[in-house]
Amino acid sequence: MEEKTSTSPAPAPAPAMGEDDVWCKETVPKVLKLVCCSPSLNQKDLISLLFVSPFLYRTLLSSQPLWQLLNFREFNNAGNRLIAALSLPRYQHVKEINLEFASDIEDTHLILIKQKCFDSLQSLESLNLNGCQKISDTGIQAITSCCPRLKAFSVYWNVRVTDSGLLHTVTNCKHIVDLNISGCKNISDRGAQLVAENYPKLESLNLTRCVKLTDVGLKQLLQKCLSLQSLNLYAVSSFTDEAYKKICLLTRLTFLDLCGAQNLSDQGLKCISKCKNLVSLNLTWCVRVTDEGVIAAAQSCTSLEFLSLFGIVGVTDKCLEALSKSCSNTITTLDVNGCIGIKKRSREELLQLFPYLKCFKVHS
Amino acid sequence: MASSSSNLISLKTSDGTVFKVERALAKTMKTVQAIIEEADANIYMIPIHNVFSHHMDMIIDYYKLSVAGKSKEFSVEKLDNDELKDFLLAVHYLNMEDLFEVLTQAVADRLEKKSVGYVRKYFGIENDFTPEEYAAIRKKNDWAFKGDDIEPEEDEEKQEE
Repeated sequence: MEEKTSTSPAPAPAPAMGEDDVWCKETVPKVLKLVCCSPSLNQKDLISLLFVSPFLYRTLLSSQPLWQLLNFREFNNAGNRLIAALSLPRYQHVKEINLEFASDIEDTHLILIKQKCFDSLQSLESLNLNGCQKISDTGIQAITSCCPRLKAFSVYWNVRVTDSGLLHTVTNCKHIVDLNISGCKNISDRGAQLVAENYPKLESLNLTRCVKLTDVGLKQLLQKCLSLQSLNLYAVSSFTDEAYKKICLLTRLTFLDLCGAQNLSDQGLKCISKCKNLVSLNLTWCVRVTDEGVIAAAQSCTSLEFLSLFGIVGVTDKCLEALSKSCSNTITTLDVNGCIGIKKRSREELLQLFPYLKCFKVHS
Repeated sequence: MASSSSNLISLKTSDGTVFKVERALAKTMKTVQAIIEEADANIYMIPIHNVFSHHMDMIIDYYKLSVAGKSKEFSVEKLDNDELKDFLLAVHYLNMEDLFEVLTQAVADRLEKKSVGYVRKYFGIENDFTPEEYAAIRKKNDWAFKGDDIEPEEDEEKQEE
């Protein structure tokens, strides 16, 4: 049942001879290749283009850069889909796999992938398993053993991942620079130690809600992962100044989230202030902090753009004045909601001090 | 007589209009540039096939905006799909890289989420898959489509809105 082309759209004034051929064999593939690279084209649309014609099919397949991403975000039946995709030759050099909030992906799928698609994952650099709550250490072992070149690994909100999972990761993947284990509540100091000992070049680390960590584990990280640019300790309230003070070792730090650091004192914050390159600092609910600590931060971190003091009752207008002296040109986000010690914190008053302020609320 | 040392180049479009453009603009047209370089010292007028005066108007608009650092303000929204395609063809003929990329992006935006049949019709591409070939490719790539997705359509008679 060959389908006939319907009458072709009325053409522009007839092109010169040979133009049709140029159009089909050169222009169209060129245009479609650029179309394929455009951010507005999602995976489904991209793959749909393979069905347009055999010539286009071959042309698009031969363009490797088009096939470096597999995106199954929020898909169902993700495990089987992933296996089907990885069985196709065009994904042999896939660099990024996104399974964020996908469902129906379990250890068995990852084990099967290791058996059947091992070669296809050798180039993988980024793996996102955020929210894939059925995956355990076993699955992590299987999948990490396939991707020695992995640089970015994210497995947010998975309580089945334990220190064992981290052991497999550091054993199999030696080049990780971006690690997100936010919400993996069962990770302990032992896991932190594994990360510290194996990833000296780590740049970004998210330990949100890893509530089993203590000063012991954090200190190991701070002493060994000296290249860290981003550190997220949101809602891990067990640390004390003993560890916080060592944050100053991270000279490249630009992003630091200490939301909920109830034990952080002014002394601790003064040490942290030595990280002069901080751009983003979240001190939400750091209830022991007062003007002393914030002023130290203000005077040292002159590139600060994002600051939250939400819920800190011990700070007054004095710290805002200090902040304004050194960071009035850079601050664009400032949350002082609940800071009852600050009298002048209406929108207008804040804009007086920080003319570029755009965002007044970070914490809900 | 326009000599090659003059600052203006004369370009004659398919519909017979002569445009005198700055040498710098002509330089962005690689096709024209090649003609100038190959020709004798004194070239009088360069004919540009496949390019109409309304194309040249838009090309000059784009040039003026990019010289002023405002190339992002250039828009082809007012062109319908066929006009955009013709313009793309003209710019492709003239081999103007930057503008070609801008127009390609515009085409990409218009093709977003459209069916396979629409894409074929838009580019005038014939579907020369055999049913067996087509079915095989579909099967291999079934994993990419969610249940509630619009399946890639084969029916070219389905009109877009």
